[in-house]
Amino acid sequence: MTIEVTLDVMLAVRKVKSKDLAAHVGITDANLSLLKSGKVKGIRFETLSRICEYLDCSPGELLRYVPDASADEK
Amino acid sequence: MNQKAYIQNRWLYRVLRIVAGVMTSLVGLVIILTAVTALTGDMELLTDMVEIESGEPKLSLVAQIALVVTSSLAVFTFLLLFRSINRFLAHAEKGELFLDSAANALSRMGISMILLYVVFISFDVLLPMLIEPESIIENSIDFFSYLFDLNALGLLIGIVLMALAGALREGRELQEELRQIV
Repeated sequence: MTIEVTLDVMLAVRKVKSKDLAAHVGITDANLSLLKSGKVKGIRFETLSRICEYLDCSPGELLRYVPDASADEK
Repeated sequence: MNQKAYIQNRWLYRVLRIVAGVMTSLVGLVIILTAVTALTGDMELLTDMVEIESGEPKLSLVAQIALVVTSSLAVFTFLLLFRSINRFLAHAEKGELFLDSAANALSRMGISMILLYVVFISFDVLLPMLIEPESIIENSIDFFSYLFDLNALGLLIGIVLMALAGALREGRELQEELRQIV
C-alpha cells in the first residue's frame, strides 16, 4: 500500500507559500519539503492538525491511498 | 543536566580514559616481560603470576607454546578492552551513545570481557596443568572451582554488555526512524 501526500496540490489551491505553512506548523522548510515529496515515514497528528488548521481542510484532502499493483492483481 | 555537571562528567570520563590507558600499558608490559623472561629461563615472574607449587619449574615445548599463545591473547584482549572503553567513553563524553560506533565499542567491550575470562582460566588452570602435569590429579577440585570463581562474573558482564550493544543499535535505528516522522 502507498499513501500519497497531496499537500502541494492543496498549497496551490489555497495559494499558500510553503515557508508560511512551515512557520505556522513549527517545522523546518526542509522537513515540509520532505513531507510534500512523500519522503517521510510518518506524520504526527499534531503536525497534521496544524496543517489542516492553516489550510482549512481535512486530512483526507492531504493524504490519498494508492493501492499497489500487486494488490490490484488479487 | 546542567552545564556544571556536564563538565564534571567530562573530566571524569577523561580521567577514566587516562587511567585505563596507563593500566593497560602496565598490564601489557608485565605480561610480555613475564613471558619473555620465562622463555629465557627465569621463572620468577611466571611463578608469581601462575600458581605453581615448585619453585623452579621447567617449561616443556607444549607449555612454552601455551605460554606464548596465552600471553599474546592476554595482551590482545587488554588492548581490545582499552580500545573499546576509550571509544565508548569518548562517545559518552559527548553524549552520543545512539551511534553505531558506540554500539560497536560496547560489543567489543563484551567480547574482550569474555576473552578475559578465557585468559584468566588459561593462567589459572591451563598453564599450571601444562607446567606441572602431576598437579592435575592433586588439585583437580581446585582447578574445577576456578571455572566458577569471580572471573565468571567477567563472563556474565561480557554477555550483558553484548546485549546492551544490541539494545543501543535498536535505539539508534528507532531514533533514525523518529527523525523521518515530521
